[in-house]
Amino acid sequence: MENISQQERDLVLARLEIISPEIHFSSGSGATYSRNEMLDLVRAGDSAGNDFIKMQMEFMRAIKDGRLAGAITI
Amino acid sequence: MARIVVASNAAHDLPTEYLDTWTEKIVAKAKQFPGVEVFELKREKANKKELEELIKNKEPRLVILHGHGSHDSVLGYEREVLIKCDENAELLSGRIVHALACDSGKTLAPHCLKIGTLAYIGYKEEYKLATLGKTNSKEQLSDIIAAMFLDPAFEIIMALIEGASVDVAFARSQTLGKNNLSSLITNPASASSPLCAALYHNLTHQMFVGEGATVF
Repeated sequence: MENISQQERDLVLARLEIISPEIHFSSGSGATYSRNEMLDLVRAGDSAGNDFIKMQMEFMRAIKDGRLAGAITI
Repeated sequence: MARIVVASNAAHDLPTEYLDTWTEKIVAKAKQFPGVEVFELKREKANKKELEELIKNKEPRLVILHGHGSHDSVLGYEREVLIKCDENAELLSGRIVHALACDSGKTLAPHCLKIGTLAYIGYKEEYKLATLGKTNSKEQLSDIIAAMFLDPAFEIIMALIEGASVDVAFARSQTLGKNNLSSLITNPASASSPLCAALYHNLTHQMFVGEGATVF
């Protein structure tokens, strides 16, 4: 079981809910999920949903520790 | 004559269909450059046997592999292995490689470098793609979400064809990726979008190994 807290899950759900339902996310396996399907996967703790949470949390950690600012500096 | 071999496997799923649509766009531009010859393997032809024969016969300077991947391989139609460490990676010796394929920057890229590949440009983790889920190529080409993700990746190829060195082409791609990400995070309407995280992921996991001064 992956170590994802309910707070992290809720945070990612909140971020997903603000985008257009027309947006689709594709994974390396070739699977494609609509916004609503991804919401379900994140809620359910499916592996694709958990991977999505981990990517979002990594981004938020990058904001917090300054790596994002460094990454987008041209 | 500068030669390019392109293997693009719009196999059976939406992400590779989008890759193929963008590949067609770049191939059309490449064919307009004088002195550039492009050889394509699409769909069923994106298989190991045809790729090996084409590379041996045409001796391309640039090999473009667009499809699924793993840490030690790049896959073709219906996930057939096209290139794999310790199988046939020596085919990429003496060439520039662009692999828009998940994970192959991890093991295949450094392996290729050891056996003589001039430069290997790719991704060391999964490549993230967000789209509007369009299923025909005309609609895909006007998909502004897909463009935010795919344009930076394909910028490298155009830069190389235009004569930029690998390190300059890579910098052009990174700059475009940074600009796309910056435009999202500085807009209050999209600053919290999960798309930002996916763009950041691609930006930080895009890589190249090899001699940066190499030109096509």
